Amino acid sequence: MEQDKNTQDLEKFVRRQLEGIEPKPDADTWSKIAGRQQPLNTWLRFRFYGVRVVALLGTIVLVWAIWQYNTPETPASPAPSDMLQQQNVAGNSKDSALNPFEPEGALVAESDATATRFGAGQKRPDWYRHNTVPMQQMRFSAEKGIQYQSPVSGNKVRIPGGILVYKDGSPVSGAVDLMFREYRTMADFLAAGMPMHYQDERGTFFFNSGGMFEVRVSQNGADLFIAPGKSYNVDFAPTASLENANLFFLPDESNQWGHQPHGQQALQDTMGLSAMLRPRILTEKEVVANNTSNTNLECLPGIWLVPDTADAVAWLQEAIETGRAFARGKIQPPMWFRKNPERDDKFFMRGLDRSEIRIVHRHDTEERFFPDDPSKVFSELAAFKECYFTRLVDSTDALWRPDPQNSVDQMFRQQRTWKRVVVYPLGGSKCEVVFGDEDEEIRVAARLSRGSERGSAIPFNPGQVFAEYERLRHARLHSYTDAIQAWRHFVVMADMHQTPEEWCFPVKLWFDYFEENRKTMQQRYDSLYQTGITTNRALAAKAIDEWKERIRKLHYERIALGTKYQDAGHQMAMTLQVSGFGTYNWDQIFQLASPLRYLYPRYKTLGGETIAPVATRVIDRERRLFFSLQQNDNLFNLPGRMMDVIVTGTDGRTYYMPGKTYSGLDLKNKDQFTFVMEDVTDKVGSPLEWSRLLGI
Amino acid sequence: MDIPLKKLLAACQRGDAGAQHRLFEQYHAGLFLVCLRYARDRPEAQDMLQDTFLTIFKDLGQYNGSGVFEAWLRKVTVRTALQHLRKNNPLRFAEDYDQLPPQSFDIQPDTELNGEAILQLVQQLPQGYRTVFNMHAIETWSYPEIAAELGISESSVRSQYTRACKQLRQMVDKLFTCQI
Repeated sequence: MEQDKNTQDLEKFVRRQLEGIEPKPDADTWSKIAGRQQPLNTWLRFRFYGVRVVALLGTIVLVWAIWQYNTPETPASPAPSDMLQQQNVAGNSKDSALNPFEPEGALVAESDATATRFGAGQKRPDWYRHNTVPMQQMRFSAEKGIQYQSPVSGNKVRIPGGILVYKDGSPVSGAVDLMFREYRTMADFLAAGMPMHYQDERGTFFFNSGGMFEVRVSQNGADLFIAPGKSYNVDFAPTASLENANLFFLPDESNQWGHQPHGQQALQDTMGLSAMLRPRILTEKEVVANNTSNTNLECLPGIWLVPDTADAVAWLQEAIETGRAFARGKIQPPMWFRKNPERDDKFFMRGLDRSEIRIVHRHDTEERFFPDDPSKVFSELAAFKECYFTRLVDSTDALWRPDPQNSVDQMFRQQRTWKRVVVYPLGGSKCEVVFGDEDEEIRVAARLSRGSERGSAIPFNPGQVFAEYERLRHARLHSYTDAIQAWRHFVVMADMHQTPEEWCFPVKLWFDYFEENRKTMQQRYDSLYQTGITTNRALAAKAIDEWKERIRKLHYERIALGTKYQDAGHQMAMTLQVSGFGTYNWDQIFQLASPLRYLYPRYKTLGGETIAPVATRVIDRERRLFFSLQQNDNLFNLPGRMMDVIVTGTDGRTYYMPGKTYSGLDLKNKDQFTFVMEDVTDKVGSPLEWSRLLGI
Repeated sequence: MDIPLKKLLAACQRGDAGAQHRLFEQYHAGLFLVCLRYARDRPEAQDMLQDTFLTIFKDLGQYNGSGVFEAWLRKVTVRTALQHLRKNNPLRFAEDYDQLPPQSFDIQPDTELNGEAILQLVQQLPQGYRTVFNMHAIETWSYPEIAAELGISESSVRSQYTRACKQLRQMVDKLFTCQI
């Protein structure tokens, strides 16, 4: 009690005394604080004003969005699927100075865009009824014309005034409606449902599309036409840079794509120029090379990660060996690396040097001990076999102890586990043994002795034992770093053998993908191994040089492509002069690799009902191909190929079989086969839903 | 004319150097005393004060205006001082709690028993004792609060405090004796 009172008195006394003083810091204290605070004030200003500016902008955008949504005088906001299209838009020009027709004040827009309303009652192909790709509509004066720019792609339609005619050829006057629709992704093509093959006197070929668009003008729902000898322009940016691509037109009447030589008058080819300028037929290889080189710039492999020295060859050879062993299931990337592939060696070493170590005391005296690591992570302790440590009395010292109640002596004796142990030789038999974990560490000065001197003629040499310990420890740590390096090289050099799609995988995903496609990977790495590249340094060096050159070229090509599109404010990628309304396609035509085998397919639903196909379409995701077959009574017989099959039945319903299923079917030497398809009609009501279904 | 506190704080939050200077002028003396109590010596207290004001300017937004501003400032100062101690001497900070009181301390026989002398005595306490003593006796933090802040057990805090008082009393007694 008295002690409490004394304590309280002391507290009061000290408090009172301290209240009476007013110490002053050094005169230059503020200048030091101000100096350190100056750069931080920039951040404070940014934080203070930035938040407000962002909030203000957010409000403005919100108000604008609400206004846009509620205002009927503007084009309908892009549907969710338009966002999907937007991803592939290369240019989005806002320039309106190009308009030579100046339709200013003539535009009256509609918001009730529906597929059935536009051109209702007009003759259209069957697929057109199921086309769910959103359209953009504008009303304009036939006398003044229109320049309309797609908010989705930046593409422009420029129709001069006075060129529209009715079916009977008489000029149109008054308000007319423009419908513009773009097909820019595989999901759009699927949702449209149009044929994706081409036929001329040379045969039937498949399309590899760089984007399509549809332009129609109507008045009171009736189609309008372009006066003979007149044309309009479409400034069009393809979705991909395709070599030998051409313009094709799909007339409603025939539903067969026709070639439109670039710059010639559409549908007015009386001189037979189309025949002279027939589109070049590409090989599958060319088309696939074109497609796969059009991946995103940001997915290009980082060739700068590969050194320009002889090390690169060693990396590549090691990477192929590692990949081959991994593909064959002989080795597995350690989980600690898979989880943190981008971390440095230090990080891994901290994590790896960890076990469950106990200090085992000998029975005769507690001062004798041995660090016991049953899981043998610290395998170098094997050097101390038949030896023990004797603690030098009062030597134990704590390096870090959060709990002062726990004396160092107790810590040494108590039954507990430590995470790591390191022995530091101090000369002769003396050493320091350090036990530690995340929170605590004790240092024990000790002397190393042999377990038993009986029967041993060789004198004990502690220096030799410590040297062996150091050697083993060094080797163990190096084996860790070697393992890390091997997997790192595998990851970096894997780019050389990956498809462009695989380039986009983050490292973690790449490991998952590798395991899921072990068979393909095994083929890939086996074939690499069989070239002798893992033993032939010259071959490896050549492969690296070629690969680097390829990546460099791709890099510059894509930059050039991007620049071209970004420059769209002044000039779009191309200006197409066309003279008919309908659907246009910027495409390559190609043949699949021969020999091409077909079989007679029968299609059934999951319930066993027969499907009568009116359209058959296939997707080869790996090669980025999508096209339709001319005949519905045959299908490719390509065992093992990942080919999604989509069939439209006479009932108007859509049926689907994933590529994984197709590739797993036993089609070898089959002339006919029954494919079981899933009815996905209700799942694919829009391009967005298509992309969700297919995961594209 | 004094700028209302609210406006001054808002200006500091916007990164206004003038306002920050005014805030420093207004509060630095009291906060420097806090730093001196936790520090081993004046240079260390100077460093703590600098860190404290940088923290205050950074975290001003966290002061919601509900409590007394000075109390918030003191709390920030104590926390910054503790951080400073941990950062600059982590092992000693932990070890000190278990150290036996030193048998001698440096006090001049002709020292007057005033605030300055008491401050000097407090500064001579081992770091762990000094910290716990300051937090409990001057800042009036409870034992559980101190234990939570320092990450040690409550019983440890009690024992450290008792030892700190014992040692401080010895030092004060010796000073009294000198004066007699």
